[in-house]
Amino acid sequence: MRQQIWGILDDLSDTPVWKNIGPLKIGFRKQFNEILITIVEKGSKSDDKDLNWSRWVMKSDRFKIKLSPVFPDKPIIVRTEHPFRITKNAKARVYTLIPVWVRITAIDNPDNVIMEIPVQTLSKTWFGDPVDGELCYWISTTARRQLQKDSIDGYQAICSLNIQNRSESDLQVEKICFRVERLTLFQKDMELWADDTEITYRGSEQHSDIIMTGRVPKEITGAHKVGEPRNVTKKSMAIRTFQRIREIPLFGE
Amino acid sequence: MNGINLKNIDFKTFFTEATLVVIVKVGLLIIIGVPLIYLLRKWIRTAVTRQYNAHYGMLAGKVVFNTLAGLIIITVMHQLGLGLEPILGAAGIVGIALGVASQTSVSNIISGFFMLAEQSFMVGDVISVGDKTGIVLTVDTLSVKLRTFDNKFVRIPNETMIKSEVTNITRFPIRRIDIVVSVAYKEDITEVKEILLDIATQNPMALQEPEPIIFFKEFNSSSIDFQFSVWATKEDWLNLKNELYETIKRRFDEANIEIPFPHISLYKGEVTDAFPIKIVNDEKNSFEPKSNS
Repeated sequence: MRQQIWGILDDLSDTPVWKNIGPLKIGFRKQFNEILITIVEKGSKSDDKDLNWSRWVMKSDRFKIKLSPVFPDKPIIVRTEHPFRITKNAKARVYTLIPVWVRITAIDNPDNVIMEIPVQTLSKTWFGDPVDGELCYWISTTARRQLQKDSIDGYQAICSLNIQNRSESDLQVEKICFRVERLTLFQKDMELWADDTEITYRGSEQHSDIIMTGRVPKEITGAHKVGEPRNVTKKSMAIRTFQRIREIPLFGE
Repeated sequence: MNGINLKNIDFKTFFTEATLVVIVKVGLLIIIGVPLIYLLRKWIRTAVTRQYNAHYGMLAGKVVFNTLAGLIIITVMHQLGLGLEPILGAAGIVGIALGVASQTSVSNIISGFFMLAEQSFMVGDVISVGDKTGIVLTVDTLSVKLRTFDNKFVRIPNETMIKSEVTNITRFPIRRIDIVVSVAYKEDITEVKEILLDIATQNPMALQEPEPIIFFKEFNSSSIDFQFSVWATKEDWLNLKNELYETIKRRFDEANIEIPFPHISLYKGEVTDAFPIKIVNDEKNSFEPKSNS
């Protein structure tokens, strides 16, 4: 049975409390009005004396802390292991799994983030022109047409994308720039879901329209909001999503 | 020679009410105005730096300071009853004289304007000029000031900057790391390439796009050379470079891939037989070539 990851930790003492989150084990301790946090990789053989505890002094010694999921701080390039084409005027709904970060806040001061921990270290990549593109994270995954819930871990958020091709040619879906920092997180039982995203592709020379609906995907009912978007912007925006990186001269001047 | 003799000055007529008012006005202008323009310069520089960047902050600060300083000087002169016309006339003559006498300084000033207009670099950029590399501290009227990485202060005249090749290392957000990897002739090239690609894929600082590239460089005297090119953000560039070298060495050792050092084979004139060496006496630490007859 899966351990409940998210929520309030109110029974802290000098004895460490451990949370297993994906490949990480996060330890929490309380000393006076201090919170002590340590992170170790699961399976690593380290003695208690080897642990490197980070310390934060809180306002009082009666503090409680909260663990909540939050999307990574940069867009994510999702590379589909099995690229597919969406024909003219066709629509496709795909699902991807994005590993979330753990945000640790104090209950009495939720705006003050104590720490954010990426559960899985993602590779970096560059999206766009080498002169003025943007830094993103990189995930190589299967963009699934159907969800297989048994393979989903508690630290992975299910993101659903509705892609509509309104251009005059086929759309080759090979890589998608997924602007996760604008998504809301919902929880149903042990599953994390992002709000539905709708992308309308109008051709390679034009930006794609992206709408973060803010709605819970139709597959789930009774979910509650557990994480606000990092960047709260207008729900609709026009931005490049499918643009491939431009040719970069490797050699010569 | 006629000089000013304080004894001849009639202080009663000199310090009239009007003169005192002028002195007070000029004093107040200087006492309040000068610190005020320094404060304004600091405030504008900070505000513009926060909004845009340090370079524009520096420029805005200079524009505000010089304009206000000029205004204060003109106002003080006006209060003292000095017109601008004789000053400007004198400045023209003095300017020509100074211009002839100080061509280098004038050239530096004009070069400074060209540099600012060209915007090849900004305050905070890391640049290389000749054999000097450092962070740009200021772009001043006569010179550019750098702080080198070993914390030396370098002043480069603007004229030199205009005439020299300047490399702005941090202008663009991503940079490429080029590493020449040499392996022995006996090694499996496919395996070498796979290991290098895996090293780049596994390192979170290495950008996945633009893709890492491995290409054949040359058949060297003792090795086959490859160029291994990986992209990184300018912030990660140095750390990734260090990590790549360390990881290549470790992974090659694990896979028993030889990183060769120069080999020299000596022959005594025949192609097939190696040059024979025989140790005759260990104690004497001497050797003599064996006869091949």
